[in-house]
Amino acid sequence: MLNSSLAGKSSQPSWTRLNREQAHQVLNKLSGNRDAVVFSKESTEVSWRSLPFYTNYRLYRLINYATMPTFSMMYLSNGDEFLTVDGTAAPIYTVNEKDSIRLNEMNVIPYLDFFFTNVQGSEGDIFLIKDPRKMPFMDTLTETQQQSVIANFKPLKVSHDTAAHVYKVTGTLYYGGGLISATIVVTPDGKLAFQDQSLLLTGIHFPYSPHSQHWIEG
Amino acid sequence: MSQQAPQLNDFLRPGKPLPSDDLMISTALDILNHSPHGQQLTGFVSVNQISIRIMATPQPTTYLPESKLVYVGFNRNNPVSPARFVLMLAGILREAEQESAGIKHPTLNAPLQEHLKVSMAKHEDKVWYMCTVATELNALDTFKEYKFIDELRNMGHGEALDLYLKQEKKG
Repeated sequence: MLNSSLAGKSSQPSWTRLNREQAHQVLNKLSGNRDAVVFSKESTEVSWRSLPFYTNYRLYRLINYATMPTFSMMYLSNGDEFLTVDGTAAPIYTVNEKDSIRLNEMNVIPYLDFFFTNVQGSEGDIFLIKDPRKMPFMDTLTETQQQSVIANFKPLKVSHDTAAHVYKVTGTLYYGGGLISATIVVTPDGKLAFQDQSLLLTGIHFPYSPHSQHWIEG
Repeated sequence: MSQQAPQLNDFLRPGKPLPSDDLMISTALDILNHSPHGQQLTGFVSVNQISIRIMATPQPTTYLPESKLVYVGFNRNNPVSPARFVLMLAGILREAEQESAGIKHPTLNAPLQEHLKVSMAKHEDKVWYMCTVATELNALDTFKEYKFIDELRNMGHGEALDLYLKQEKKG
């Protein structure tokens, strides 16, 4: 069993910016899709970064700098097919099948981070808390709430259930304005299920998305 | 603890069933048509043949990639309320109107000061317009339940709205 100080410790890979010609190739591929969101070639930066649980698919980020604020979209791609990261689990589960996701005790937490950063539920964002003192917007909570968060926090624990062939991550999550203790079951194909959930604290509301830290508005 | 936890497994359900994109857009334009300032926007859409599209995005957002093409984006698992959709559409159409009137973002290599000046002015005008539309629609009995003013605050424009209402009162 790994504790949170070990699991997912590796730093996030940085973005690699494509040169103009490569960026245009990506934009040309995307524009071939009838429903693709329009990006101008003149003002769009295209970058990518690898994901430790995929072999052939990377995460692409397109940013249009001609708008204020800038507009960005993410795609999962093998360089040929581009799947829009649309806030649902569908594109991730699709790539998990196409690229045979490889999960282990070291990358299961980065996978969950990636998943929760890019998928919202009906009650908004879900956030896996690793250290309550470093939780986004902790300073927007009252002193009493901050103490409750720290007192109720359960550190992350990763284990592998060899019989069931699943990873189990037990810890504390923020979702729907509350702190919830739960076990996240991750199957070998990257599908998630939640077990043993209990509500630890309610009345916590983040002013922005805890992932993007962008103002949630139109 | 007696309170019920939000059901985490609901998080993984596929997107909620929604009306068609065309229906959402036409309904929003119809609602905007009930406000004098909204009417100006719907007139702008029909005269200039503005194309309105809905995109699937993780967070609610709007986007104007071309002067005659606007996008409203939201998460299909957690769709925005109809009121928010209407206000988002009003905001991005106002931006399209600015572009059409020649009030454009400076080129990428323009000095930072120019970016700040123009972008802030454009944003201020857009938010002011959204405040006006929200106030006008909120005053109509037909749309009482939409709570346009509350929704505008939820979108993070509370401060601008208070300033707008204060100035309206003075005027």
